[in-house]
Amino acid sequence: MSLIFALRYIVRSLWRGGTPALLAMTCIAVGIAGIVALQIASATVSNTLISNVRAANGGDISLSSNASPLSAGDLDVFRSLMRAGRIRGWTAASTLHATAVGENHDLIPFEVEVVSSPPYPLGGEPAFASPSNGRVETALARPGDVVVSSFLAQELGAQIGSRFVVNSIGGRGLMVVIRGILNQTNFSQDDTMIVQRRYAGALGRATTYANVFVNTVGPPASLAATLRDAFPSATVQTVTEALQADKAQVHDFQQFLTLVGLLALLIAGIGTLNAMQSMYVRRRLEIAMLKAMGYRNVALYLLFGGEAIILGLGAGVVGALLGALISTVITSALAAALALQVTLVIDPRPLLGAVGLGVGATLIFAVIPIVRATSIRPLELLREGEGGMAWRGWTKTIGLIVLVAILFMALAATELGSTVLAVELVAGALAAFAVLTGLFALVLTVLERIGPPRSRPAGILVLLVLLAGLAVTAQRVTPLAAVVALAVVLWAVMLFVPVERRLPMLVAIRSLSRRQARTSVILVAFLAGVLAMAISLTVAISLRNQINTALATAATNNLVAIANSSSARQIVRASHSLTGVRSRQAVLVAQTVPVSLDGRPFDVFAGRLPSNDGDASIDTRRTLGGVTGYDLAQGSRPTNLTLAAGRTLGSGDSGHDNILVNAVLMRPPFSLSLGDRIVLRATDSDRSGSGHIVGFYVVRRATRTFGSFFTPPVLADRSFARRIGGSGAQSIVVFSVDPTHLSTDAATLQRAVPGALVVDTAALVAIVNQVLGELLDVLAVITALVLGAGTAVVGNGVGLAMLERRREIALFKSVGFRNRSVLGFVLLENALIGTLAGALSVLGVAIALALISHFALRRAVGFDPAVAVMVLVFATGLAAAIAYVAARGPVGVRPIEALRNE
Amino acid sequence: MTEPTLSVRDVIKELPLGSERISILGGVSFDLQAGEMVALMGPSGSGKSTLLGIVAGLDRPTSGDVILDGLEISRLPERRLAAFRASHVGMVFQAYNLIPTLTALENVQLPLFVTNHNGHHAEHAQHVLETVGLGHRLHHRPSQLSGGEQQRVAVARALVSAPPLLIADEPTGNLDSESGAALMELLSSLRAELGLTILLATHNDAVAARANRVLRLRDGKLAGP
Repeated sequence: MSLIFALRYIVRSLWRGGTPALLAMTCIAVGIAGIVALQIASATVSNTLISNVRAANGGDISLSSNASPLSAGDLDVFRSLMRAGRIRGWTAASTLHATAVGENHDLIPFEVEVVSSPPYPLGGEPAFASPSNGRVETALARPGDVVVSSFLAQELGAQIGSRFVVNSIGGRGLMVVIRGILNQTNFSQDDTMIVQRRYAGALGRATTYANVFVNTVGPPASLAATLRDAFPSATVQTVTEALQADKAQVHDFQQFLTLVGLLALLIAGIGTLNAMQSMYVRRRLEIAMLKAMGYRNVALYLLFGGEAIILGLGAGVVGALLGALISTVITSALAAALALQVTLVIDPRPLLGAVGLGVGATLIFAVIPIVRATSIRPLELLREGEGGMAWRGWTKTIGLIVLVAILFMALAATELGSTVLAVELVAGALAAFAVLTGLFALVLTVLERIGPPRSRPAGILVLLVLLAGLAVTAQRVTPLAAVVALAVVLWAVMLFVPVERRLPMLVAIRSLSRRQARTSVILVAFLAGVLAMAISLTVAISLRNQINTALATAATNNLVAIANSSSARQIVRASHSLTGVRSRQAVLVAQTVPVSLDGRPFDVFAGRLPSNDGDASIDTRRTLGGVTGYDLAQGSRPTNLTLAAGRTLGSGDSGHDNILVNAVLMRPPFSLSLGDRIVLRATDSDRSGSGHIVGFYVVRRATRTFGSFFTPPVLADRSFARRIGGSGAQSIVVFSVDPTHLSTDAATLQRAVPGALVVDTAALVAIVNQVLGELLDVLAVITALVLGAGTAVVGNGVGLAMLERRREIALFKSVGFRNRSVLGFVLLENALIGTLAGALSVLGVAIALALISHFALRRAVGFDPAVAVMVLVFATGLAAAIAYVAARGPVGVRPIEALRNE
Repeated sequence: MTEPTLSVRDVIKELPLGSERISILGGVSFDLQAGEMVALMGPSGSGKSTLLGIVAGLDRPTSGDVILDGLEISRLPERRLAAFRASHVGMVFQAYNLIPTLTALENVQLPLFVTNHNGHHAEHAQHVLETVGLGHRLHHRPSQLSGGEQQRVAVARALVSAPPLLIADEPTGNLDSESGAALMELLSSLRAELGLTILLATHNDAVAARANRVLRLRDGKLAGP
């Protein structure tokens, strides 16, 4: 066969291929669109994040020491380095905790960075979201002028020109005006406000420095080493290191999105496989004729491979264009969620790559249909007019599936840049497909074997068993009750509804189980999308609801006021006018760093510290990061703790240096015991004190309260905290407030004591809502792509089924059923697929939540039954809607055409 | 003379083919009296199946009238036509056309669900199946039945709503001679017992020989007997 002739044959065959060819192309196009959209979105976001690393780092080197801020004296190190000619500029910034009332009248906590501009920013101007040509020095030029991060602007509901009062400890309240909003420069949600140092007096004393930015003369690496030696507890980062960290983060992010896109392509590829299968079944006589004329399998592989290439080219082009369109939506969602200002840049390279990917993916998924088509036995087919396409041999089938899996792995490895990840993706997907397909086959078989009930008494007995199951699940696993309730309804329909009314149900169940293999594949593809969406959304929604409920209803220690030690009385006095206060406890707090433990310098332990304690999840570095002093003489006592050893503190300890410490310190490497002494030094001065351990305590997770986040871990008498903290010690008053008065009382207290920092759980609710809300948006957009691929496969399956069941539809019509009735059968059949997918998704979500609750969160995360019902309804409705679109035309077939002796 | 069960008057059927129209039926007229069995013969492409489709209400003529049981059906709206088909016409096809997912009994019940037939569907359908000799195959699916049995299920389905007219398009075309003869025997006896009017298309002279008369269709027109 000449090339021209072959090309003509290929193009005309595809043209004649009609719906199946179109469906095959559509499926791959949807998958390609997913990959392209995610690639463009991730590239745009990544470019924004790593475009100005030096500015984000603040200079050639940044030094951060939030836990133990640098004193004014510590800054001499930088002055010396400047004199020595090793650095050409430096600037130090202080960090203050502050609050302001947001547009929803909630108190929003955030960080204020107090800077001297110029020389700040040393690393170059940060990118301004608004005004786009903003400069820090200009934006901070007048008293009260501030610049805020995008995330904080969102939290406050503020924009350029917004005015509000900022409160901080020891201050008198600073009226600020927003003059600039900064772009985010990383994935973390920075809630920061930048204030000019000379105008920050109203915010209180900013005498310690949490960040120092440096521009070096020589290579930054050696100076970074010097600074690490000088400040061992600080984090020192060069621009190169910042870039590496950003790239690692961006790489993971891009890889994750590519992985999602490949999953969508894999699911969509199954649709293509189905469609091409159908295409070749319709052409079986033609293929048999070609073989009868002497065409060998190799020639047919080339012809059909050529068809696949053309389909892939079409799918690649359509997918690339569609992907470019979808990328605008995804990029917007990602940018909103990450508080980034991005400019969408569509690079032609991924678009061209998408065309190649389309061809590659179509060829891969065409392997099975092509091999199967060329296995036709022409004699049988040409003589009998049917048969001849029986698929013989499981080994051949499995071999071909393995081949397709390996080819897709190779494709995925190219896209992901990681063979291991590609193998994990394909192997995981195959395993999941195998398990779910088996499960579906089982469900369908059971459904077919069970219904309809042959005798009324037996049917009623089964109904009673199902009702008992409903009662049990409603009590114990509420979401699963939705699934059992569905089974009860279906069974009741089969049992009580007259036979002519339940015919559609009967036809649906029988049709599904008759085409078990394809139904299972469609179900699994659809399920993947529904499950991905259901899991991500329900986990996020459940978490949000749980956290919100826990925080909103917490009536214990839900409001905290922090102030200089001299302001404690003012806070208590002001709190008497609050309507919802049930109780209050005032403590004196000194922020400390450990000097020695039982006579051994703390630095000895520094290299051996675990970053996180496995049992209590308490950062061991922080177990000595401050003293909480109780007024023991007045009967004030530590609460909500359990003694692991020793005794608690009492009035007899008043005026003494007896302390309680976290039981973590009993374990290696500290191995402290009762009677040992600990020397602590204040973070903002050289004052220190030695505490005598009289007890070790454990704080159970369940008994932790909002207030416990603000009280440091070394518990002692007030006099001990005063001795170390001096005038820098802070008063913390922890209130228990009626939740219904919380927001009002918090705002009232903040206004009454502007020099205090008032924080309440309502603020956390607002932050949790914002962060999780944005996370939900991103998850929804990303999982929608997978669901989109599943949707394409369902549409594809319905379209093919309509072609294959043309005669059946015509027959229903010939005996008097109307289009509407036949369409009803199809809708019910596919709604059943959706319901099954929804039910299994609910099951999957329940299992996932149980696992997350047990292993990740260590607390029960509930699964709202309403969400379970929503998933069921959504999956059922979507499947039925797709079926409606795909079947509406085909059910209009004229019976006379379909029933002729084809 | 009594009113004919079926009266076909000047039926013309044209179909578009590209920019032209081709004539499938060119003015066909005939009557069928109650209880009559008429064979429709003619070469492939002569318009037999098209004529049967029009008579059955599955297709509409370009012009002309089809009066079945006193009702002009060629211009009935689709909704009424569907209901009319279910109650007034039984159809048997060469390829049986049973619903593969339903049992023999359920297949036979199908038209009853449309007509909202009063009484017990299952019992009635079972009775009809017993009439065609398949009382022992009630719960078998089409794939579990022989070709002859499938065609008898198709006949039972066509008769279950007691239509005045049975239309059969090459009913023995897919059967061996023995099964074909048995089926024709069944149709003859049903006609005799139930007074059924039957119009069947066939290429088979032996089948046509069992009819009361034969209509010969050639190039869309009826030729002489």
